[in-house]
Amino acid sequence: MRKGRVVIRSATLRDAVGLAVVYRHAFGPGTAAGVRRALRRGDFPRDLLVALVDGVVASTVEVQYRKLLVDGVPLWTGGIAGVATRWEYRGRGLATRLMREAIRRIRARGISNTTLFTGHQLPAIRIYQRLGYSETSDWRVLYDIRRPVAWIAKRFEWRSRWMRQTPGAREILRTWRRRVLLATPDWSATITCDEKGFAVRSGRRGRPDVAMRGPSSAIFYSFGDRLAFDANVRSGKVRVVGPPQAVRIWRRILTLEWTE
Amino acid sequence: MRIRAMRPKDRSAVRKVYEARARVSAGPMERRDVYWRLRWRDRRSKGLDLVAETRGEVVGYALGSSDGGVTAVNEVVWRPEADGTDVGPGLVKEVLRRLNRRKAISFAAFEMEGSPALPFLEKAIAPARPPNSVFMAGVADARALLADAIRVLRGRRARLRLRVGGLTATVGRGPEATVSMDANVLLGLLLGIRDFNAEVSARRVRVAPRTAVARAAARAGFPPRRIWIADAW
Repeated sequence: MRKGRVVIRSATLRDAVGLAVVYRHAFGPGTAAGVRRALRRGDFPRDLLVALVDGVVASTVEVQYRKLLVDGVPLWTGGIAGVATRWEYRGRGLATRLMREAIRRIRARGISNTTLFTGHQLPAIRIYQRLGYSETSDWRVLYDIRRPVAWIAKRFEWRSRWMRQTPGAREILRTWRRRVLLATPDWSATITCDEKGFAVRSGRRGRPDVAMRGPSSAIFYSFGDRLAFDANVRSGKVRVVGPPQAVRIWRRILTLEWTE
Repeated sequence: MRIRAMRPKDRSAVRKVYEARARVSAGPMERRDVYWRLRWRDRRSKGLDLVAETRGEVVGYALGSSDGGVTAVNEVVWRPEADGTDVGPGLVKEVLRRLNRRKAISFAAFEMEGSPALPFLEKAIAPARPPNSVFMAGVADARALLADAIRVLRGRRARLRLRVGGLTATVGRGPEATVSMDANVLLGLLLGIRDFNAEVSARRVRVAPRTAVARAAARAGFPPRRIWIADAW
């Protein structure tokens, strides 16, 4: 693990290149121009904090000062967004330090509360609970997937772009040459991988290295959600067959879980 | 009731519908001009923004979007007066019909648990998947929270004395009850995450004196609201 001097301060436009790298490592494809555009947006006041380790932008947290309406009465809230840490600086408590600074700034503005949206499956949720985010309400997602193979192709198009720009994932794109079969009672699809990314074709094509079988909904819910993937496998709703190492990597690709 | 495509001249009426819904909700964001300007500029929603009209007045709207066949119902909102009518289900049905004409690969909707549109969307699209995303809130400053609570309670014409931690504040003349709780509980009640009766039963909220009148006054200050935020950030 790299060590170095940590400086926490507000970001400037000159940090855009470093911020783009941090965002890519956490959220997927993004550019410095996009970061600059976001920094210039004036829809509400914001504080973008960065943690620099030896001058390198290693972690970031954004505070958006927004107003929540309760019976039409506006209440200021410090909305936390864009909590992200560069790959090689994870596990050093940088995000926690930034969050503490963010809450200090929210308090200094006389704002009563702080709010955020996150995923149940993300490790960061534990940091938020420790910092006092005790009030929670679930966000529900409804899906009706009419053309499953086209939908999966779209999801893997995005994954290919994300993985090309993310160091740990790039390595898998370069070396992983497995064929994966997704099979449900109604449809099946074969996913292959080359250096450029994933290709999704309908039906069974050749002998698969990894086969994932189950009802459509259980397979769809496993996309981007490690908890759903694990629960479905544990309960036997979904069966994943293949060499353990290949299954492990497939789980990471499907759930976009790169932190372990 | 007639549902039709939104026209530029309907935009101010749509804002009014959102504001009317926000007046009886907990959680929606205050939307400034710049928000709506950006919203109307979004090309993905071209032709997918609808309004519901009754006697020439806009009473609800639905905003949809399509991105290469991946379609979404972004928002379905109607005036509180239209609760219990066919405005909500009608808008959901019509926006899905129009999205389907775009050779939809999938339909999706993202809603908080307190969204008035959630039951209609569940019926029309599919039951919600097990929750994988969550909204979280925490207290940053108890004193400021008490001041916020007083502003909200004043709007509800409550006559209460609030005790949060070591802080006390009074709203209305001659308070009918003293309500004591932790700052987190107060935040949960204000945002519609916690239910007042459940908190009283669990003894996380204490009402004094212990009379029916005091309890009714306290309950009137914290009517049932369910958090609903249309704009995740």
